[in-house]
Amino acid sequence: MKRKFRLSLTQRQSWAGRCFVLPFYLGFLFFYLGPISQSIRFAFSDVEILNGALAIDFNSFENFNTIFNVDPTYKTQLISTVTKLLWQVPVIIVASLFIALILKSKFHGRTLVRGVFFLPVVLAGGIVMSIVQSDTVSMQVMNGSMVSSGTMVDSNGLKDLLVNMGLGSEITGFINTIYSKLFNLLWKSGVQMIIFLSGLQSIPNSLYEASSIEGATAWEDFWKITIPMIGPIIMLNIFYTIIESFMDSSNAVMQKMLAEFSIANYGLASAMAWVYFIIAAALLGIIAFAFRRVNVKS
Amino acid sequence: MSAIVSKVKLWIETIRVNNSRVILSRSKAGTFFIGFFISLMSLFMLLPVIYSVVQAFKPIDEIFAYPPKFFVQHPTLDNFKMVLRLAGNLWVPFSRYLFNSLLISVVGTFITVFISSLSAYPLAKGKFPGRAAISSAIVVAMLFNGNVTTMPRYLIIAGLGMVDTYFAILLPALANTMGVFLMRQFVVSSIPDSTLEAARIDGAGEFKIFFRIVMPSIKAAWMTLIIFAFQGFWNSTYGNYIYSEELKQLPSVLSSIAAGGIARAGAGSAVAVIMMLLPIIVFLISQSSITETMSHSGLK
Repeated sequence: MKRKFRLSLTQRQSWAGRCFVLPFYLGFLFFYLGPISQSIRFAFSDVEILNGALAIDFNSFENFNTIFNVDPTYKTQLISTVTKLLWQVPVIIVASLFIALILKSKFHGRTLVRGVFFLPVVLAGGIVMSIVQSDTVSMQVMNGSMVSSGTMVDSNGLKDLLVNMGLGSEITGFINTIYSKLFNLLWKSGVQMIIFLSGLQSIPNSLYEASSIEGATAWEDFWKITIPMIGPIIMLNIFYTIIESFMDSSNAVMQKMLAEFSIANYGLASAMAWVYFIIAAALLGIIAFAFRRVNVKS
Repeated sequence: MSAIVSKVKLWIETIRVNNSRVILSRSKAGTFFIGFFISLMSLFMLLPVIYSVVQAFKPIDEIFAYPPKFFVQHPTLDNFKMVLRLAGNLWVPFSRYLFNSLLISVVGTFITVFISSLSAYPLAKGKFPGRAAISSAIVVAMLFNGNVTTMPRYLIIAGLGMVDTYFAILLPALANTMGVFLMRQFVVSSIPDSTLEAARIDGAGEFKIFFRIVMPSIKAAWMTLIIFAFQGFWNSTYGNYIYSEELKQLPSVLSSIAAGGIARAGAGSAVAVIMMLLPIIVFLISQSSITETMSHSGLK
């Protein structure tokens, strides 16, 4: 008797699932797991470039010892960077959700305003950013007020500009302070804002219709419908914000690490990366634990 | 002044008459506040960019005028003409760079979006061993940005023999961790299990479910991913992997045009304006095509 080879329904589904993920697995293996495992090896080794090839000598915890006991600044920089990130992340999340909620409502010129808030994403990295930056920098150089800072628009440049536009100095000072704070915030929340916006657009309108028939206020709508419906999106944005601000090449720890990479001190730099990475991963773990119920809802 | 006061009094009076309780209706006060807030924020965001655009239309003496003027007095297209002239004198024709940029951006975006959504669906809804592990591995891998893994990544691309080919740029798009995570969260949040069950009971295969139910339901998500992926590919130079001049992309040639010293300050701004245009157009198109989804409408 010939028995027909058949998979059960669940087996078939699980195989389909594996096939769907396969291309990603391959890319992940080559371009993520490969480099990452390589960098673990570097962290525990002394890496040198000899005759055009890499010489990797295992030196156990030597690199970590250098970071924590020999290097005088790494620990303090690490602590100050991480504390700064801890308050920055919630501020960015709340601000971007707030702006996304406003941009979701219907008003004239909505697409245009959305485009404006999307500017940080267009400009982020790449050539456009560097040119916009050099424009504002050259403006400051000519005013004799060149001040280096991490922000794109230096507040002094703006101040001079506003004075030149004929505004009084009191108003200018006031605008200036708010501007530099707000600008930094908005500049960092472009991606989160767009993600929230599409999250809000995926909430079916019928839910709001039903609740308005039941007599719910907009405030109740927000807490009872909007927040639960975009739970996974909030989690995504928190993760993204943490990762982005940790990996921002303008913060002190990253700069130190990249400086070590640039002088080909791969072992030490990889060890620094791993210390930093473990802190970030612990933070993500805590958040994932807090959100563990969000991800399983149907 | 008194005219304004009396107008306000009249307005308050009307509210009193219309509703027995005095309420500044939310639509008026709220709309005003929100409008004010949004325009202020937009202005903040726009100022440096407007400045850069204005710079692009300034003749050379105005760029270096002291004290600097915000607005251009005698607008000119000289800067754009300079870019065109410089672009015309290149060893490799300018259209080749444009072609490379468009090819990489379009193909790369397509790969990123398709592969990310394909793998996000089972990672969010499927049942197979290792699903949770791979999901957390993706998040953890997001921590390793390009800067940290540049060197090992180069070794791998070199090992696969892909240095100085389009593949060095396109194949890593197979594993866009941010993309997969984004799509996965959207699948979790906007597709109810019961919709999928209903489709299975009706006899739909997994591919059919993916194309007919999952993809339409998370249109907002892949439209967003298109924006991110496109601007990523469009803005990057990939200087590490691409050496041949005829394989290079627009940013690398434009930045060398802009880097020609102080005399090309205007050309630099013109280049910035040119590079900004396409991502903004992509954004506006994708934003205006997102509409309210229907994923829950089938459930009663």
